[in-house]
Amino acid sequence: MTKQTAKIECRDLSKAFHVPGQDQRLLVLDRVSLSVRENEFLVVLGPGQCGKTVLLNCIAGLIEPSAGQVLLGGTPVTRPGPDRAMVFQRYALMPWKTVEHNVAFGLAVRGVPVKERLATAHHYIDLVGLKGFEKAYPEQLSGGMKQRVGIARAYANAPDILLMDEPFGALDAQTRYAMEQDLRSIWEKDKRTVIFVTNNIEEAIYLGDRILVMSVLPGRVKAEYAIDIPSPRNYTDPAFLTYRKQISNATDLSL
Amino acid sequence: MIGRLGKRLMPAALTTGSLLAFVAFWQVVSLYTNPDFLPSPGRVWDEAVRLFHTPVGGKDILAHVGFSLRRVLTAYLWATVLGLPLGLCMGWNRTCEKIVSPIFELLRPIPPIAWIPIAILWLGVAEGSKVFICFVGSFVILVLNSYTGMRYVDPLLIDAARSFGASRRQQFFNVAVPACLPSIFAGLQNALSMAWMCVLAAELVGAREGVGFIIIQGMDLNRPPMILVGMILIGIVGSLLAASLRWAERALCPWRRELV
Ligand SMILES: Nc1ncnc2c1ncn2[C@@H]1O[C@H](COP(=O)(O)OP(=O)(O)O)[C@@H](O)[C@H]1O
Ligand SMILES: [Mg+2]
Repeated sequence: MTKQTAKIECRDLSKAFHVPGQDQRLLVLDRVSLSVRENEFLVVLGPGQCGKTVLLNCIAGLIEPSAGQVLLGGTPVTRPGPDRAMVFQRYALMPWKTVEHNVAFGLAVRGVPVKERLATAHHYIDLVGLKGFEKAYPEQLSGGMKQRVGIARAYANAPDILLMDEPFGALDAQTRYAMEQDLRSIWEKDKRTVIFVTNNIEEAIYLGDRILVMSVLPGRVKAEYAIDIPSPRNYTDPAFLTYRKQISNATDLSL
Repeated sequence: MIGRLGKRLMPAALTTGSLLAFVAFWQVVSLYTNPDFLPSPGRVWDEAVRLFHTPVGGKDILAHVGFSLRRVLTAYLWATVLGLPLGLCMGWNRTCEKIVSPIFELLRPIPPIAWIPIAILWLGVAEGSKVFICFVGSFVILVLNSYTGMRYVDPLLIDAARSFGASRRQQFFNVAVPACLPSIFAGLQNALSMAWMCVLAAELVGAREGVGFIIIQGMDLNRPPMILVGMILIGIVGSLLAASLRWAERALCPWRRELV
């Protein structure tokens, strides 16, 4: 790894929660350290309930770590900012807003004039392949389409960093493959620094430049793999299968 | 040949049919009962026509409806202006909740009608006490509905807004309030029906105008058709009020999918 300042750095990040009715605090993240280079696609791979969402929320500035710190370009994170945008596992779209207004949400918050923000929104709606659905309400869309809106909303805010929390976790296998391919190609067209959380090995290898494997609760970083497969990647490539075997053998996540 | 037109006319036909069946049932029952006990639909109709032309207590029947409506709408307006913000703040702000909700838990089980005696003592039998009763009824409902609506806003939506840097104020006005619009509308509906029910209760006690007064007059004059005209008016006006709010909800919450 290069020694220049990392885009994102977590130093010994720990987080414990008070659980009602229990004396001891529940340790969810245990001294997690990681660093991400500019425009790198980092995948965090871990089993369910191991603290992946908590980790992303710390980086997003939505929750405060109990110990350690998150640095963005060297400065500590204290709150959310327009340099980061989140894609949520349960979409988190506003049901009363049409697709275009959902996508323009971040810009609206920052007071960008309506015309300008809709123009930006339309550009990203196009990029994620939802042209023609600008005026639809989220309720009228399938799961995959909702998440495309989520991705467009994150992109439209022009963040340097995309935080993606199991964005395809709720989709059926078919749609999931399609979304993975599209995400990879969108990212190649319009590169950002990405932290992508998943519990799916295949998805991790398909998308990631690098994979961090997390342990079960309390979440720790257990292993790291650099994925050196050129694009376009293929799920049945020998190199792909070798990585898959290697990572499955080393973890208790199996497929 | 039940084509597209048939499909469109079907609901209207069902509604008309069910109303006609109800009137027919009423007619049949009235044939077999003492007419002083249950007057037939025809006699009630005649009475309604008579009341349109002959004033009761110096005012015609539409004026009486107007009186009741004015009381209801005045109270409802105040209840909305004061109750909605209070309920939303209770749901949004912990401190506000801790201060206000114990009082509400105590007030909630008291039926608005139980306020009539004290309202009359405080405000007299004139307009004030009647408006007050309606206000109490609809205010409590509005506060509770907007409060629970706010409590059940998905925290994930607030997180999403926060992650895009929304200020606390933006989180409230641009996310939380629209997210609980459906429960706000449910509250507005229930509160309006409640206010309409309360005005009648209030008018049964010493009013000289209003639909409640017509019913009481009917009782004093021993005219069952007059009582029924009053009751039917209550039903018609109440359902028109509810329908207009449903219409407003549909216009303001177009994203809501309906079951029917
Ligand atoms: N606000 C909270 N209070 C208490 N416990 C929490 C909170 N947030 C998360 N947890 C706990 O932390 C653990 C990890 O959660 P999470 O990060 O959501 O897992 P996942 O890896 O599936 O995203 C879970 O056991 C969860 O119950
Ligand atoms: Mg999660």
